[in-house]
Amino acid sequence: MMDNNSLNNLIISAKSDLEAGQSTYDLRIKYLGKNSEIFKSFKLLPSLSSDEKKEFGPLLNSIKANLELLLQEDVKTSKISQDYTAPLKVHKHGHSHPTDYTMALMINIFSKLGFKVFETPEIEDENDNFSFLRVAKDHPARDMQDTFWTTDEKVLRTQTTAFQRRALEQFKPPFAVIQAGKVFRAESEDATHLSELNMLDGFAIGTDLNFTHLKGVLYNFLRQLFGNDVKVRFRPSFFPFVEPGAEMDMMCLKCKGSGCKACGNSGWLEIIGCGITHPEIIESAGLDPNIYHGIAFGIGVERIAMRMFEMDDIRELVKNNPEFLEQLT
Amino acid sequence: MIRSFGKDRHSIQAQDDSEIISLNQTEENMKFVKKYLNTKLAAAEAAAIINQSVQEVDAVISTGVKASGVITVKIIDIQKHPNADKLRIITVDDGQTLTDIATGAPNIEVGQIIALAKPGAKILAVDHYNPNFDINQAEFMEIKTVNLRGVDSPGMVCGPDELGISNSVTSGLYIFPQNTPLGKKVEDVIPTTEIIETDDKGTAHRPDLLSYKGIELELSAAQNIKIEPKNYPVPENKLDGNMMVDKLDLQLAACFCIAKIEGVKGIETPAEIKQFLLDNNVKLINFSTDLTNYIMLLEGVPTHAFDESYAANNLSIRYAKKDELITVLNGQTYKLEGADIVIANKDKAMDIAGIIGGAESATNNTTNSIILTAAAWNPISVRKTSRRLSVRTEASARFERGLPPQFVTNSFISLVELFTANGAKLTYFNILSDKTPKDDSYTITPDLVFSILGIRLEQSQINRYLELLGYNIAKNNCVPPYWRKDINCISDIIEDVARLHGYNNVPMVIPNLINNSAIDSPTYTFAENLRKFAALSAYEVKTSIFSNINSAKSFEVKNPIGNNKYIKEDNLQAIKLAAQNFIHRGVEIFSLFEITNVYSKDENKSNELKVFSYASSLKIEDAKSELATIFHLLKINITKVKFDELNGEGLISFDSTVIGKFLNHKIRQTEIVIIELELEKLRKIANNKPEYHHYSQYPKIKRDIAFIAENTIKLGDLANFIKLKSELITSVELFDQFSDIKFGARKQSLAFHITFQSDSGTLTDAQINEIMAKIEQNLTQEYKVKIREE
Repeated sequence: MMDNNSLNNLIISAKSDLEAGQSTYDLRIKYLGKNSEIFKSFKLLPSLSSDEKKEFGPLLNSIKANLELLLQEDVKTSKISQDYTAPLKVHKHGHSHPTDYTMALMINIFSKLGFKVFETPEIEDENDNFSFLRVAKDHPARDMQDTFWTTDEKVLRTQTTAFQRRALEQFKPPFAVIQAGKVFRAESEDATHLSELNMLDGFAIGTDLNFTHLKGVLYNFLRQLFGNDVKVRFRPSFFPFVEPGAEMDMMCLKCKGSGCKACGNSGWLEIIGCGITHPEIIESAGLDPNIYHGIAFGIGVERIAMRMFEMDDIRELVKNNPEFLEQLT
Repeated sequence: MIRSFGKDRHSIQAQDDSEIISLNQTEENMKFVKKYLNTKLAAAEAAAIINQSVQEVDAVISTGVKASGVITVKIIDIQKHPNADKLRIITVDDGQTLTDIATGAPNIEVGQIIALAKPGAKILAVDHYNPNFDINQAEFMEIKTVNLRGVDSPGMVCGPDELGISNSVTSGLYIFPQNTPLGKKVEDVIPTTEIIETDDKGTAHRPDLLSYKGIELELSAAQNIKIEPKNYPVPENKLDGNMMVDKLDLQLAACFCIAKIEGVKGIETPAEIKQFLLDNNVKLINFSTDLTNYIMLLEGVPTHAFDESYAANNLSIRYAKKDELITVLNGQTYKLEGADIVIANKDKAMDIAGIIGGAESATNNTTNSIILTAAAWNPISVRKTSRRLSVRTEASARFERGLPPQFVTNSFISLVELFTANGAKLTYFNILSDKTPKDDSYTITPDLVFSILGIRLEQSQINRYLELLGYNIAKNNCVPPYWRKDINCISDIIEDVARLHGYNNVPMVIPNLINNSAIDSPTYTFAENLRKFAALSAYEVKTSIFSNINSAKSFEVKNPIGNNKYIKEDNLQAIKLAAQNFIHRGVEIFSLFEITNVYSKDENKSNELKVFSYASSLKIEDAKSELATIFHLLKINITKVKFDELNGEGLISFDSTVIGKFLNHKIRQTEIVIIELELEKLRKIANNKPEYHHYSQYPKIKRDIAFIAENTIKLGDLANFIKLKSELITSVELFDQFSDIKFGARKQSLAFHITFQSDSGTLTDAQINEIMAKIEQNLTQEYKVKIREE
């Protein structure tokens, strides 16, 4: 009733059925299903003597394994219906905007250094945007040609630095905050100027912050953004809300300092305005400027984007041209 | 040193006053002629030091000859070229030999001294036939003997462009003065002027940097060289009667200086001052004006000279009368207002204070006696008046920065000295000045320096830096020099220490900021995720804040650029314009998005709302799938999101909360769906904590149903109708939809997958057949569909 030869023949007959073109699905039913020889044989196994069990048990298992292997449902095959040589095509896809992409990168770097994201309104009080930051009433920046004013005397903020007053109101030092967002300048646009642009501002207050830290933070930022071999220099500059004030230059990535069109032949790119928070600002927040010191910096997002993508016209960033938007990010 | 206004950087010529007039105010850079900066450094080195420790340097310009091997020659004969109408043969003399040269130059005459590039010389190759030729891109070419139409020409005569001394392409030859020696190298005959152009924008608080003396002091200090300040002996006051009011209104000016100088007629301006003015691109006018121009450039203090016959008596400084008229040196007549300050005689205004002098009272060649004035004008007033009248002058640029009184009086004294030293006679002299004592003594300790700069300096080092900059040091106190009106607190002085120490000599340290590594703004984090997910299938765009749509709640801008004077209350219009741009650029299948603020005001409170704005040219169901995918990635339960549509627009809700709106637009032939969702509401319904749900262990069974239905049928309602037929139905999914004429007009074929599953056991065919029969029956009755039997 159970015989070696007929069991072994199962493999041969399954092979020839397969070659004859029968489907693995049907053959699995025939050779491995509930009515198959092997299934029936397994059912008989408990009734056999222990010697027979020793003989047929391993045999049945081996034949079953071989049949399983032979009748795999999922097999590699050389006969396929797909055309693998068809050209590559991208599925419908989208793109980050280069400005926002850059902004997110910048925020991530500062965030890792310990700066928290702190967002404030874009339409601000005159005080937050100007007076609090020591931009005096008679300062040229107050002129109509530079600032958009609403009819109810609010300001479309001209700098993300406008967040300093709210930061000082909301957080107890020590703190470190950043914000990136839209700022507005009532000036005509050209290859290097936009009237609606983005800026990132950083602001930290502590008892032991000084100029070395300002430099460290910013140098670290540029290294992470542009690579470890960036070269920087700091020069005196004037912003009413910092003292000392500085401008950070980065050696032109294109010409490595020898001077080219991208850097106006100077070899250096003006990239970050920064400084030590003016003591009057600390004082107006009710803090002792002899104890608390702050570092502050402001970076034009589009300027960084232009350097990252080696663009030469800033207006591309607001044109919403698909041919541009699909290039970079 | 001349201020250049306007992009072409042509300097503006001085009128007969120390107030140099400009009509264009776009650019304002100071230009310092290096040889007057009193330094042994090369221009580039000096510029690097100024840039690194004083203020930004925009450019170092050298005006010298760039060509080499070019000499001066005299034309002694001109002949026609035998074979060419446009060429001539000229014979030139270099003092030793005669040479025949063929040239096409138009402006030649016998006797002229011109520049000859001999074989081997290098000149700039200028393409005179290309109107777009950029002289800055010109390369050098070597001169060889050439044969021009049968005549050998051993050399070439040159124009200023070819010599490299012109900023533009020129057509004629460079002509030297008649007394120029022959056979000399042109670079020895045409002197090189090196100019350092500084960028003033960053130093609006430093009037002293608008002068040679100011830059010179800083440049020396940065090299550890101390310049001793000049001593100004004050002339004795000479008063004769009622020349001016004797009381000074400090609202008008912090000081006022006046002198009467006689006998200026016929005095020649000293040669070195003439040369200084010429090198600084300032026109020579007459003795009095040349001296005032000289002092302004040298020391930074503008002064004004009146003809004595107009100004002799009752000279006063006062606010202008309303609508008072004055005709000034640029020929314009201005109507003044009450806040403008003027210098007046007893009848009328003679000078708009700190900006420009009147035409009538100006000095001329016949003037013999002048009234010389100087003042520390109220900077705010000067700025306001100058802006309102659109007159920016060398004088107003300086007064706007606020000149300290002692800065003005010292300079005035040196100017008066210059007049008397050249033979004029001082007959009246008076200085009125703010005498308010200023408490400006500071103590700068090494600890203070450390607390701000993070570096340890010795007290002696700090003191040395400050001394170099002109501070008075007594023990450990320092008093800033009188010309530094920008020093008002300790931090200001520490900046001076840092500048001289070198910003780049301060080490860089990464601080250990508390709350390490935290973005900490849930809104920002959510918006970033949303942005990343949306950018998988849609283009991110950037739109303007301005709009032409107005409502009671919209902000209005007082000074818009263009016609859009309102601020957008939603982003529907803005993103539609972006979509329009895509269509105009020939892209037909696209989705766009932007995360932006929209703005409105309630009473006086301003509301800024972050929205997720989306526009797509896809069919609505595909656009919705795109959104659904984004929602899914944000863990928003899409089964709860509902669109309520009426006439192509409507609201989007989650459960019963409205989260946004949508509308349809047709641009050309393309239908666009525009969706706007409130970001904060999305954030609140996004479930960031995954939750475990029990699920059935028994198999799912799928059945399909296909039928012919009206094409107005609402698919969402239909699917819901089917689902409600049994609790065993877990999903109803449309997988096919098409129309065919054979179904009849306004009919379509629809096919759904229906999935069944039970929690309590494997479902049998009989159970499912029963439900399917019920569905078919109900659909036929309720929706009048015709079931398709395959």
